[in-house]
Formats: sequence, structure tokens, C-alpha cells
Amino acid sequence: MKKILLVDDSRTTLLMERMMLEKRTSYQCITATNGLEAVEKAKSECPDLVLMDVVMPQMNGFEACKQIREHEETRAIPVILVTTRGEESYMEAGFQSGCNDYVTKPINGPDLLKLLQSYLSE
Amino acid sequence: MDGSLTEAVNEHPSASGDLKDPRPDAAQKRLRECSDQKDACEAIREIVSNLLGCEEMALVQFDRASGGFSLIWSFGIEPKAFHLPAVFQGSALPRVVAGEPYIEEAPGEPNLGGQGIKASAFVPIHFEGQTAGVLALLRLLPQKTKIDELDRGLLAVVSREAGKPLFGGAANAKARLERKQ
Repeated sequence: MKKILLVDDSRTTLLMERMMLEKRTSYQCITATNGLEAVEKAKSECPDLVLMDVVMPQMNGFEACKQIREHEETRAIPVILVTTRGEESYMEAGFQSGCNDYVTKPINGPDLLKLLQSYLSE
Repeated sequence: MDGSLTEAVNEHPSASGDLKDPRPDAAQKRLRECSDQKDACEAIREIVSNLLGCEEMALVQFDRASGGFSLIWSFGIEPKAFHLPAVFQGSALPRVVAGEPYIEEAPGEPNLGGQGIKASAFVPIHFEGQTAGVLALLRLLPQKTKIDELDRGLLAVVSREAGKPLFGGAANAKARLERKQ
């Protein structure tokens, strides 16, 4: 079973992502509420993919993505950043941090599922 | 609960089975878990900003006796600078007070009599069978062009569920006390 690490400081967003994925897929979901926790869980849980918000307390998604890329054991995990900020400069910063994809809120469920499947298909 | 919003949830072709929009269920669960008014405002911010795509919002309480409104919370706008847009005082007001939402068809268009605020929607907040407040959605995120049918389903949940944690302080406290005993 594929494991996805969902990272967001919004309880509502985590609830929605979790409900959508658990209802429509067989992916196992684990969660974190800030970048620091995300880096730790990426190391300890070895997820198959990280779906992460950008603007979060303690450590933002850009920095967390950089740290995930720096560690040998988490370097290869696909990271998709999710944010309300759709400006080009933000997207550029996202890709510079090492993310594989960048999607803007509000999340379109079917589009997100297709994107996740493209990374998680066998 | 107004008919049009309920129908948006029940009659939309995606409202069944695995294709159902997950946002209303998540919003309902979040709002039902709110412990007080502060938490309810945070839940509304999360729902409106993250699930719907609106970066400016304000919540006003409706005083039925005077027919007036008072700001109780806002996000993305200066509280001191906030005033209800002209469109609200005009065509939207009777509709919203009667319990129906007002959704601006072209949210980017001027509708405010030169007051500099763009309104996207006014959502009545129901409590004890009446409109107790109004959630004003102002500027949408740049990538969000309009409030669509699925968004109406999400707003229906806010309209129906937010009133209790926002305005039911005494009732909530009593329920908590009863649970403890």
C-alpha cells in the first residue's frame, strides 16, 4: 500500500485531503502540521509521496522541501507543494526548493488524484 | 436553510458516490468540532481561503431589532476600513436577511458604488431558525474566477453549521456543563 504524507497547518485542508484520498484510493495517509514535523515524518515513515502546504508555522514548505532533498534517505521522495499563492515567483521558489510539482488552492479533487497517480503508479 | 443552496448539494451530478465533492463533508466535520466563536472564525477562514479560494472575508452579526450589522471578525482586510459594500445594502440585503445567499455572477466587476471593495458573495449564517449573521466574501484568489455550483454546496454547509459555534455561546456552555456532569 502506498503511503502519502499530508502536510498542512489547516485542520480543514488535512480533513478534506484525507477524506478524499481514503474514500477514492487505497493510499495510506499520515499527517503533519508544519514543515519541521514533515521533515521528521519523512525520515521516520518513509512515505511514497509528500503533499505539502507552503505557508506554515515553524518551517515553511519551501524549507521543508529543501531539507527533504538534503537527506539521503528522503531525497528521492516526490514532493508536491500546495498553496494559495499562484504567482510565478512563488512557483519558481517552489521548484528551486526541489519540489516535483506545484499546485494551487483551491484543490481540484480529480486533478489532484490524477497527479498523485502519475507519481504513485507502479 | 435556504432551498437554493441545499439543492446545489443534493442535485449536482457529482453529489453521489465516489465523485462527491469532499469539501462540504470536511467543512461540516470541522465546524461541528468547533468549541467556541474564535475556533469557528478560524474554521471559516480555513474553509473559505483553502477550500473555496477567497482571500478577504468578514463576518457581521445581524441585530434583528435594529436591522443593523456589526463586524465581529475579518480576515485579509483592515477591520477599521471595512464597511458593507453598497451592493449589500441594495439588492442583496433583503435576500440575505431572508436566508438566501447572494452570489455575485461576475465577482471582478465593480458593484460597490466606488467604495473600492469587490464583493463575491454574502452568505447568511443561520442560528435558531433565523439569520443571525452574514459572511461577506470579498476578493477571490487570482486563480479563482467565480463561485461555481460546487462552491455553493460548500457555502451551504457554512450557512447551516457555523451559527451554533459562532452565536450559541450560552447554549454551548450549557451543553459542555451537561457533558461534564
